[in-house]
Amino acid sequence: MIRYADSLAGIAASHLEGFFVGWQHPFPPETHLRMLAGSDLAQIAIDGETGRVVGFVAALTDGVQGAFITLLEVLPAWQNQGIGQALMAQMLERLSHIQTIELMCDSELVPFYERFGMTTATGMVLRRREP
Amino acid sequence: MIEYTGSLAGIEPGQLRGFFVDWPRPPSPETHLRLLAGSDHVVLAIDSDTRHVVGYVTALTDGVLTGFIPLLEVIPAYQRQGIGRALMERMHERLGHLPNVDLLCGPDVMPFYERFGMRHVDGMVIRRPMGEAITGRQE
Repeated sequence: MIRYADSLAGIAASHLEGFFVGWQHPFPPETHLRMLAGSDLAQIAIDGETGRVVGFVAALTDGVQGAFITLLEVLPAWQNQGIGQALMAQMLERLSHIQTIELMCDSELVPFYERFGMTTATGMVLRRREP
Repeated sequence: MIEYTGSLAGIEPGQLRGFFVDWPRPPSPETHLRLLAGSDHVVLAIDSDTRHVVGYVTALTDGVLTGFIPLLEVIPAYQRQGIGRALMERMHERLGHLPNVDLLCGPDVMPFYERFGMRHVDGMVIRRPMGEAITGRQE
């Protein structure tokens, strides 16, 4: 059973193994936990049996106008079960009072985000460290 | 003279008039001040003669991976004087410890951001009218 949580209460770095799949320089779990703790909102999917985090989405917001979804990831073994969709829906619900919600994504993910009423946009990024 | 500051100390809503040009439902100066206060970083450009804020940039960050720049604006009468560039330079300095700095923008302003070493990517967005978003949740 998957349990969803809107806080990091009880989450340790050891619960965060296996993320940043495909990154050249994946963050260690300790850094990952700091990144989640430093985000304004984090929503996590937890395997009820093991307590392991199997998916997460993180967002930054000014609480009024703007929000940015920095990362959404589900561990490979847990994909295609609707966990990413549930995490995203829960995050958008938490951001429902915010006017503008933005994210960067690769083109193959556009249909996924379109389901939530998002439309394509263009942006600019600075990458000091290849992901 | 234009002064730059990273602090909102002493800034009143009355100093924040004339922004959100061409927005269908612009936030009020009071809401503008709240969104500035809710940001992790702000840089303001202030006309030292009038004490009006004539430009600003905001950023949100998790302190580890990402800095995101939601808004950068210079009042029309103060454009083409390098104020936007000065604001952006100061904000990039503040975000210099972060691996990623992201923003969304139209193709017309991409050359401006390319000067800061940024490159083009695609993103996605939800935009709601300001009034609806502020008055509460839509059931």
